[in-house]
Amino acid sequence: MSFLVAAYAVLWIGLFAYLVSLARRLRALSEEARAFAEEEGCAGTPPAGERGRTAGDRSGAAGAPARP
Amino acid sequence: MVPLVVCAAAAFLGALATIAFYAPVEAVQGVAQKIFYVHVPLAWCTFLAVAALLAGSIGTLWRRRPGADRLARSAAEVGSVLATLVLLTGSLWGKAVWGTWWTWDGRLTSTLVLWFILVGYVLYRSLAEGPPETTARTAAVLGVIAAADVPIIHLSVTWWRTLHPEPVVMRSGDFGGGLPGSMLATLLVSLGAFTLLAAALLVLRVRLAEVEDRLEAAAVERALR
Repeated sequence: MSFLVAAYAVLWIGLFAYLVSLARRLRALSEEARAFAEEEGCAGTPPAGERGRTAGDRSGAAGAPARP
Repeated sequence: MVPLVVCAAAAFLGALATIAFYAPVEAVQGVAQKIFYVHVPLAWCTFLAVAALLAGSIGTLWRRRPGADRLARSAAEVGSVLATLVLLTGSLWGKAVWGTWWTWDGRLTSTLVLWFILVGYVLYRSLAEGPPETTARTAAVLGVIAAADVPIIHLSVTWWRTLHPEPVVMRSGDFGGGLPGSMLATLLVSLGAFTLLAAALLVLRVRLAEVEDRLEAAAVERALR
């Protein structure tokens, strides 16, 4: 019984910790992106929540390989 | 995004209730056998994450698409978390049933190799300092190597004599034939719930990668001005 409880505890703690870490990283980066956009006078960087268009899609974007 | 997370959470709770109240207690292993209903779906989701890693890696090597690279690095991270949970739950089940936390048999060792490759991928992506294109392409090769390990893991129990049992669900010409109906039904419910959960984690991680890329591109644009 103790092994079953341990296995489910590992599962819950592992998944929950990862989900929390993802949410925290996403929030921190979104705030950083928002601050960056405000600094730039709302030019250049789209708001963090905007969907469908990413910097990586732009030709020559850093952090991802550019189209040939 | 929110509906997917809510659906995943609801399905996950439903699966846990099914495991607790519907699945029968196995005669030989007792309640420890119920680890099966999370261990197998976790392994399945790890393989799905590696399939996404493979798709992203091929997209990066072949078409050099930034979206493919984002998918690859997100899938590698989610896959490494899931593979860690597979090894931990398997180790606990092994101790309960075999009397040992670990043994160097084919299935366990090949799964550990996959874990090392995935963790190596994640570390490489976070520590590499070269040009982003080169980093992405080198990592994509690592992603393809990780995917090549999956068939080895699946077939290891038939290739070598191992302590790990042979497949009871994915048997050729006899899907689910190795399990009683109630156990198979519980497993399928659990597989569905974990697949939804893994999809939600992957979508969330891809969203994070998009924001990372956007910030990095904006920083480069500012530096060039």
